Amino acid sequence: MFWLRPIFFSMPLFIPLAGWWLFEKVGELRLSRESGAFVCAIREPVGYLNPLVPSAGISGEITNLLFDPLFIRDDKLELQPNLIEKWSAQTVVTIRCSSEEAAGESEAMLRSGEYLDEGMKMLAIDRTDSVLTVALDGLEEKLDEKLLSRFAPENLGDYLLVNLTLKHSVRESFESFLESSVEKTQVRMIEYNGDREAKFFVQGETEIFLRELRLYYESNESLEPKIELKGERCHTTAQELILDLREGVKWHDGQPFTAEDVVFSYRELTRPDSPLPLADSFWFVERVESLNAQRIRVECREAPGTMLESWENLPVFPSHLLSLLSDPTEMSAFFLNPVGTGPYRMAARRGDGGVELVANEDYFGPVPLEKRIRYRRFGSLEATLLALRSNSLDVLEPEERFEDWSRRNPGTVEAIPAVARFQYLVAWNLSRPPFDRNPVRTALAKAIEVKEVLEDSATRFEEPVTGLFYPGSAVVDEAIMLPLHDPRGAEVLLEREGYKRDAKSGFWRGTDGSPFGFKLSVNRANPEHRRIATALVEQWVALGIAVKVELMDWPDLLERRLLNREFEAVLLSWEIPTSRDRFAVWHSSESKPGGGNFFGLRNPQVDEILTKIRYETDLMKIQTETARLQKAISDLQPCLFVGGSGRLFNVRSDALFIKRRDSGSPAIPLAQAVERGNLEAERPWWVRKETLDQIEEEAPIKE
Amino acid sequence: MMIRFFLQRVIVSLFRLGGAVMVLLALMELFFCVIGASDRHVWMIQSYGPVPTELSATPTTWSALLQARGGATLLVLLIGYSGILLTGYSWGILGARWRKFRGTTLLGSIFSFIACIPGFWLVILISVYSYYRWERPGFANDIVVDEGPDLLSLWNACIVAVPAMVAGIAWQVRAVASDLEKEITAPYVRGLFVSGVTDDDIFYRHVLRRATPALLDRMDRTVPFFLGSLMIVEFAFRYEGIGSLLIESVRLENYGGILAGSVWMMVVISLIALVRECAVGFVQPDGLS
Repeated sequence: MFWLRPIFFSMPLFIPLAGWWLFEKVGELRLSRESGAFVCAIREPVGYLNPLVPSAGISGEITNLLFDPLFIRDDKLELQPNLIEKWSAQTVVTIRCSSEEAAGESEAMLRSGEYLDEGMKMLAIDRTDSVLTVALDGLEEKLDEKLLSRFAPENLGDYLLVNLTLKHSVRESFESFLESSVEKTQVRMIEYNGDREAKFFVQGETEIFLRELRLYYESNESLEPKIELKGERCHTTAQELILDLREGVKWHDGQPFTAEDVVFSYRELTRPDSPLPLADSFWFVERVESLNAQRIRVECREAPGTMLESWENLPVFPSHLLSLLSDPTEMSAFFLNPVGTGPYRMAARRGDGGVELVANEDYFGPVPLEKRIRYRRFGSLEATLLALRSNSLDVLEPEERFEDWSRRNPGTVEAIPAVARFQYLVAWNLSRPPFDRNPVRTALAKAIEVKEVLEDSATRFEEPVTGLFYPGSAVVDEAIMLPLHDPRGAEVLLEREGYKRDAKSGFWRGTDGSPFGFKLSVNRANPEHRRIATALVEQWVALGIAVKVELMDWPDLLERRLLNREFEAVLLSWEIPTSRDRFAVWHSSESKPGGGNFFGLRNPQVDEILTKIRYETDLMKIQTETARLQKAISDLQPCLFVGGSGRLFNVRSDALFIKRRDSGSPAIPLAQAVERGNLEAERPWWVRKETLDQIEEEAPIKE
Repeated sequence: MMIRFFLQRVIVSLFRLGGAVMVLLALMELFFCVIGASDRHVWMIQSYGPVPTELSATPTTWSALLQARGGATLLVLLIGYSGILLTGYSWGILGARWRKFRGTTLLGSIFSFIACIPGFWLVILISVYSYYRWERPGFANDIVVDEGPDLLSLWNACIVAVPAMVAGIAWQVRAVASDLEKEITAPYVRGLFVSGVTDDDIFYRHVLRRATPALLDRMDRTVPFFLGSLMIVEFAFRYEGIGSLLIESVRLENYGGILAGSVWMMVVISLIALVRECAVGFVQPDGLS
């Protein structure tokens, strides 16, 4: 056993050797995996990456990198093709002629251009027996009537158009009726619209047929039948939007992106129990169907000027993955590691709560220059600072201690503001006194000096509200003029409304002696809302207005107060949509319980402006109407606009640029790119200085 | 006989553990309620409550927290205690064998010298070096390994284990060497020497064999010290183990954390003491009776 002794006695020497080996191995770990990535420090674990859930912070940022929209906005915030490459709108008029010969004659006239007005462009024509189907370019109003006015009257059929609406199963029900009907030969050209509506023409003894139809449905009251006679007509009109998808787009799992995915997403998100009910956004859509793998036909009830914007807001999901999932836990699992079509794809979830993204090499557009983005949590402030100092950290969400450090060490990190796309506001309930009186609302607005309420933090800046629309949008060319801080003016207004200041307490009282005040409901979970509420109440109380803050959990606040209209005032924040259509927020039809106009604003002028904004396509006219809307809202004061807010990106100083591969344009420092506005949309093209240097070094070698 | 001895020791260990828990509860009551004037008495169930967010960022149970933290500390204990036993016994025996040469005192002295440097500063030096070597923050829980073996956790555990291990080795080397040197002075050694038995045979065949029970008896002496040191080192380096749990719980006056952390340590110490007693009983059968 002598030989064992040297081994036994020298074994402790292996401890430092093992330590050194481990040290080297861990060092290699850094060299192979930590370097070369765009690193973002996060404070909270990354949750579900679900485009259905509006999120503004890190989760929203990552979701936008993974999922590409159908349309994108350019630097001027104008809609540009993305997953949808091109689109066209057409009006399809189906005409029933008096005979086959009449149809033939009319077709010849159409083909020769005789029946087409100036500027009217025929895209296609088809004739089957006595029925002519004509597709015309554009969705111009009364295009069908213009076309038919050129037809010889004797060539047009003499029919009665009937519209049948049922609660459901219209096709099965009407076909069942026709099977047993004696007068069914009089029915022509049946068109089914969805599951509820059927249109058809009737010729000859229409009274007998209609009596038979009414009798049939009187015995089927459960279907809630509604029979409408549309009058003597020989044509039906359908307005269609044809969307052509970009070819060669692939999901991150390699499957092709097709029209089926868009149709699936549309159906899922517009059904009544959808997690993000978008049905209201697609109010103009009658039916959506895929014509082939790349083409979608959208049948429209109406053709507002904002219809493409609705498609912009539709998140698209892979139907080949999600159509198979029914269990909510499986859906949740999908949104933990989602599959999108975006410029980055999910590589892995990190053990520290972060995520790893890698550039999508199959992306249809230019592949991002940064090949890997790492969202990670640092264990301590010290680790964050060391990472920053060693250029291993590019963007961070600062904590309080970091802010202190940053103040003491200026120049290491710079805060770059994004767009102020959030607004804080106090919504008044206009159906309750005293908020039903405009001067009272204006007095409450004049009592507030918003600059004293607004306060920047390390991750967010705040500024006064400048408009009702997305900042920088071309549809608005002037700022909203909100009431200025004028305490004396507020007092004058209150005095005019019959309020008197109690000399003893200093508070205002109404004519009946009751104190003038209200309850401000606030979301308890939102610290910024709580802070703003406190600052507002201080100013109102200083003026002698008694305001109580009611802290509530958000679900309670939504269910019990907002949706039921059971509130006096609520502090809210909303994200300003890029769309110009603000119908859902301000229109009278939305003021009923459950609608988006929870102020209860009912104003014919505002309604008229909103309708014009929705349908108008001329930019100059739109700008006129948006200015009118801002003026009207400012005058009516349905809410107190407290301020706008946007995200602050804390980035390593002078280290980040915006550069698209193959764009030819030079790299722009991030701080300068702020002026271009859409910094968040440019996120996939953020590039580190180190990456740019590396590309420059490699370029001559390739040549 | 062996089984009876084992069961006997288990019962003694359980009594010892129970006594220690009672003492702990009494101390908690004394410090928090009598001196600290808290109205949360140790016998009230509601004084314990769920795991506070300060101890775990994500909602968890006490058992899950104990499992996670205990696992981390066990790794440190495994590394540190293995190092202490291996180096302490091998170089302790070597030091005793070559006691004639003054240079052998270096074997223990190196560790004694290193142990004199506060462990915190030792690890700071390693971390600073690792920062310049790796260009990355060196310690604690700042990086997570997502692929392959988690060598970083092992490295972090080593960093935490080193200060306590160095001091433990220094003590163990001196204790082992001193036990053997004491055995060498026994009269039978002189008799063997006179009868012509070689130095090597005297040491390895007689002295070492006879001193084995005494050497085994010292195997768990460093454990309480080691775990005690871990409390400070883990807390200083934000290593999420039992030691930091205990310190954080004391700062938060959280009875659940204090009790869980302390009992975990007591159980570990008792188990190692039980192993030591069984080992001694095994090599010294007359001790079983």
